[in-house]
Amino acid sequence: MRATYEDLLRTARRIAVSAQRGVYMDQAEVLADWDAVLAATRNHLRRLGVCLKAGAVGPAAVERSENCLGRLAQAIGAGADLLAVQDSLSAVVLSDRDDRVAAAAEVAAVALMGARVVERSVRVRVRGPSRLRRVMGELSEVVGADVRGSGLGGLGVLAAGPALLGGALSMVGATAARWERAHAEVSHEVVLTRELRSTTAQLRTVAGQGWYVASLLLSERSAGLDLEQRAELGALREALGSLDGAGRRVDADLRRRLSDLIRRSDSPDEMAFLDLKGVVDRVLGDEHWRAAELMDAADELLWAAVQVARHLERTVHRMIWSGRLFVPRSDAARVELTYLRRPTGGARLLQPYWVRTDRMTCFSGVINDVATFVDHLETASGAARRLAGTAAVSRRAIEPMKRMPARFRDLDMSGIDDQGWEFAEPGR
Amino acid sequence: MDGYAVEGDEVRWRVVGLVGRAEAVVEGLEAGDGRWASTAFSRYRLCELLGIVPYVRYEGDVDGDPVALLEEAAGLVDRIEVSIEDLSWRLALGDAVRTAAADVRRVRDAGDV
Repeated sequence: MRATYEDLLRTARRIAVSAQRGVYMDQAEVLADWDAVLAATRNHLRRLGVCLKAGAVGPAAVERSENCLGRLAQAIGAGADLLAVQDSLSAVVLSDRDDRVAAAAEVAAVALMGARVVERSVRVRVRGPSRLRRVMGELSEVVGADVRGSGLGGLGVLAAGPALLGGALSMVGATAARWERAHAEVSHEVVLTRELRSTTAQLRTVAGQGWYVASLLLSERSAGLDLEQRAELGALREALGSLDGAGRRVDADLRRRLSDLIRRSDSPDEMAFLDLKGVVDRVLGDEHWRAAELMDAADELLWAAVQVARHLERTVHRMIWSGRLFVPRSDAARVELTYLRRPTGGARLLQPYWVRTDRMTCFSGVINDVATFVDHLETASGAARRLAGTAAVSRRAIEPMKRMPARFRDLDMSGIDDQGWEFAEPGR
Repeated sequence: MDGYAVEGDEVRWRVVGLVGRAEAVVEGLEAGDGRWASTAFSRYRLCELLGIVPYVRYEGDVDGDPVALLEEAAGLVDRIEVSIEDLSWRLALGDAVRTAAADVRRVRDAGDV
């Protein structure tokens, strides 16, 4: 469960109510607690755009007791902290003036309850209470400013951490972009076959989800689509259908081509994809969808998928070019008979199952299938862009390869024969 | 991911068998139906965690309900004995099995959307 801003204010009010029931003997303690409450309230109200003038003394008292007044300062402070940690996206709700006034009124009302406790408990009229009256007057003004009286509005649902203000739909674009970036960061020099298969599976999943969206929109009479949109959706579904065939062929091809077997890889892209898949599944599980929003989501999703697919294609090409994709010996032997047996001869069992080759004929299947796959995906993304109305909008494609493996450099500075290898960038 | 810590762990092999069979069934189904594409990644992740590589052909029965097979596997996952270092592997596996079962069920139950 996420504690929202409304929850925190309600907790503060409850503590204030129980503070009213208590009896406090130690006046110095009560005054110190009140200083803490006042400091927290001032801080909190400043975040809501209200500045308390009265009683601005030096830094807040650090000491506060564990009784109700002390805890009230804590609760008000927690609310201020929650406002302070909002990111720019969710801080948009803070721009609503009426909501801010309502929240400030609630905070002031809670602080005012605390102030009444202090007024009752402190009998000797020292310097404190007269200042207290001025603060109370000001707090009452803030309370009175909320003429709407209908709760906190959008502010109430604020919570710490990434907020879901627009529901899962608004997250699709952001998570898709993160997924796309996670792929772009991986250089072809560190890619293994299992990652190629993983990427293919991810792309096929995205295509399946796009297919589902298109079918859902086509089947629903109430979606309010015109003929042109229906035709476009039909084209999208058709492209995604043939895309899946190509995807399965790529998958089958990758089973017959192998990169490194030994190293295990960390896959930030899989993590990013799991996030994306969760968000999209939530969107698809929601029954109250709107056609325009679903089209937007499909557009974002397929655009990211095209970028990832292009990166996959580039990666496969570079791996073939640098001889890092191995071929089963039986396949290679079909192209060139000499692969059937190593020149050195030896027993049949000693012949390796996978061989390395630079004959392009061995890879034409993979290259063609990946190209077809990307083509279909681009067609689908084009249809989705026309549907969402972003066909004419320029979009930034990802810049490939941010993370390169460090280059090696041979150092020869002294008379020592073999210095070993040293990283070219000392920072790595 | 070394779930091989406990030698001769029968439960583990039963899970591998169930998942391998479900995978083979779905692979047979997806050949003629584009809807199954949306289960591709969850199935891939599950096979990868269990070390089921696609380089060898599946030799066994290719029938049965994949959802039932995966759910049976999900029930067994928590009984796989692992060392303390592999607990995270087992957690990931449990999540992967349940996600795959949910995805496969969604496609199976979707009918003609």
